[in-house]
Amino acid sequence: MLYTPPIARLVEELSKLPGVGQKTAQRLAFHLLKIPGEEARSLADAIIEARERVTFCSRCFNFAQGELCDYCMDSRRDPTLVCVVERPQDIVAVERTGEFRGLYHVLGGAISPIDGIGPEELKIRELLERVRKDGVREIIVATNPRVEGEATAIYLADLLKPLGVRATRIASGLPVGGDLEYADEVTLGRALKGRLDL
Amino acid sequence: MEMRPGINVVIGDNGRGKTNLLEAVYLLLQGRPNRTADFEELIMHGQNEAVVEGSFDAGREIKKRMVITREGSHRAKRETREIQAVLFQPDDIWMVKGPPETRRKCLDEASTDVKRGYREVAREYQRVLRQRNEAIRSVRRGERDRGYIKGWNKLLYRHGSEVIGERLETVKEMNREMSDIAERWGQGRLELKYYTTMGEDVGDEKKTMEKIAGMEEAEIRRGVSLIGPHRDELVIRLAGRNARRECSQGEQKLVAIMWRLAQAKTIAGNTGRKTLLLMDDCLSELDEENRARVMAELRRWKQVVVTSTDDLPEFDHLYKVFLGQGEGR
Repeated sequence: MLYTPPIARLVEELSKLPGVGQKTAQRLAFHLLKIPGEEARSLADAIIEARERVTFCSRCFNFAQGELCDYCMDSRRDPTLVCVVERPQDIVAVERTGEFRGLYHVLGGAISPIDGIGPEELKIRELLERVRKDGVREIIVATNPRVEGEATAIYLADLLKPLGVRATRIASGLPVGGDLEYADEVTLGRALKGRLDL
Repeated sequence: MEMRPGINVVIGDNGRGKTNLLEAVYLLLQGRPNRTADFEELIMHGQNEAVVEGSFDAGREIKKRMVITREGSHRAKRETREIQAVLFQPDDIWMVKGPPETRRKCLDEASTDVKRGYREVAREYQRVLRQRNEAIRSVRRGERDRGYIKGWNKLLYRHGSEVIGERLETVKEMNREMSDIAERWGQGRLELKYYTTMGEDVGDEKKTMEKIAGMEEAEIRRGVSLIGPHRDELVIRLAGRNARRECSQGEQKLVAIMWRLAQAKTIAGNTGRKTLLLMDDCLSELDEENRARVMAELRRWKQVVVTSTDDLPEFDHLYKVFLGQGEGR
C-alpha cells in the first residue's frame, strides 16, 4: 500500500472531483495534511454547509438558500424578461456582463439523445408554466453554442412561439479585443452570416 | 536520405520500405498518419517509440521531428503548415471504383486541406448526425414521440447544408483542375458531379425541411438518418462514362492520380502552401504512353517523390535513389 488508509481515502475522494487526476489529488491531500488543523476543518465545514444549506430555487432552479434564489427575490429585476441557461454557473457568466436585468431559468442541461436527455428530463415544462403565469414578454435562450444547445434552443422556440412570447437566441460572434486575423474560421464565418446593419 | 528539387525516383524491390518512406514524410508534414487513426500502429513490434525527423526548405529551413510513443504523445514541435504533402497510393483507385463512401472520404479530405474550418464544420455535422440517429432509434424503441426527432431536422439542415456548400466549392475547384489534366492527357472530358440526398433545392430551407420531414417514417423503420451529406454521392465521369462502373482499371488509376494532382494544385492555389507530391507506385499498371503523360505532369511540380519497383530506364535523366538490402527498413 502506498499511503496509510486515511490518506489513501482522502486521495481517492479528491480524485473523484472534476478535473482532478491521481497526481493532483495526491498534491491536494498532502497540502491538506500540512495546513493548520482549523483551516482543514473550515474547508470540511464549508463543504458540508454548502451541501446542507444550498437548495434549488423553486422558480428558476438556480442555486438558492431557501425558497427563491437571490435574483428571483430581487424586486428591481424585470420578471417579464427571462434568460434560459443550461447550468447555474452559466448565470454567473451572464451576470458578469452587467447587461442583463431580467430573471433566469436553469434547464439543468441540454437535449442530448446520446446521453438519454430529452425535454422531459429538463425544466422545460416549468418554463412554459412560468410564461403562462408570470406574464413573460421575452425569453432569451442562452444555451451553449454547441449542437445540443442549438437543438434545445430550436425545441424551445417551437414551443414558445405559439404562446405569443418573443423568443430570441444570443448571437455568436467574435471575441472582443482579438484580431480578425486570429479568429477561428467557423466563428468568423458565422459572425459574417449573422452580420448587423450599420 | 536527401531529396533534390524536381522528380526524385525511389527504386527498390517489395518490402524495401518505399511506402514507409513516403508515409513517414506524410506523417511529418500532415501531423497524422495517412491510413490509420491509431498512432500506435506506427511503432515497430518490440519497440517503445517511433521517431521521424526531417528538414525542409521553404525559403528558410524548417526542421521537423515527431516522436510517437505508446503513451500517445505525438509532436515535439509546434506544427508549421507552410508545407503540405499530398500522397497518392495504389489503394486510391478505390476512390474511383469503390462505393460512394470512399469518394466522400476523399472529398472530405480534400475539403479539409483546401478549406479552412471545414474540419470543424464536418465534425459538428457528425455530432448532429449521431444525436439525430439516436433520437430516431429512441422513437423506434417507443421511448419517445416523433417530436423528439423534429428538433434535430433543423440542425440536420443547417449543418448539413453547410457541409454540402463547402463540398460543392471543393468539387468546383477539383473539377476545373482535373478536367485540365484530363485534357492534357488526351483522356476526353472529365466531369465531377455532386449529387446530394437533400435535393437540388438544398438552398431553399423550406423545401428541404419538408423533404427531411418526409423521410422520418422510413428513417424510424431503418433506425438511421437517410438524408444528408453523409449519404451523398460524387460521380466522376470520364469521356461520358461513369468512372466507377464503365472505365478500365488503367483509366481508373489515371483518374485517381488526377484526383491527387488536382488536390495538390487546389491546396497550393487556396492556401499558398508549398505542396510536396508523394506518388507511391503510381506508374505500375499504366502503359508506356500514360507513364510518359504522368511523368510529364509531375515535371511541372517543384518537388515530387515517386516510388517504383522497376528501374524505369526510360527516365534515366531523373534523380534516382536505390533502396538496397539493409537500407530503408
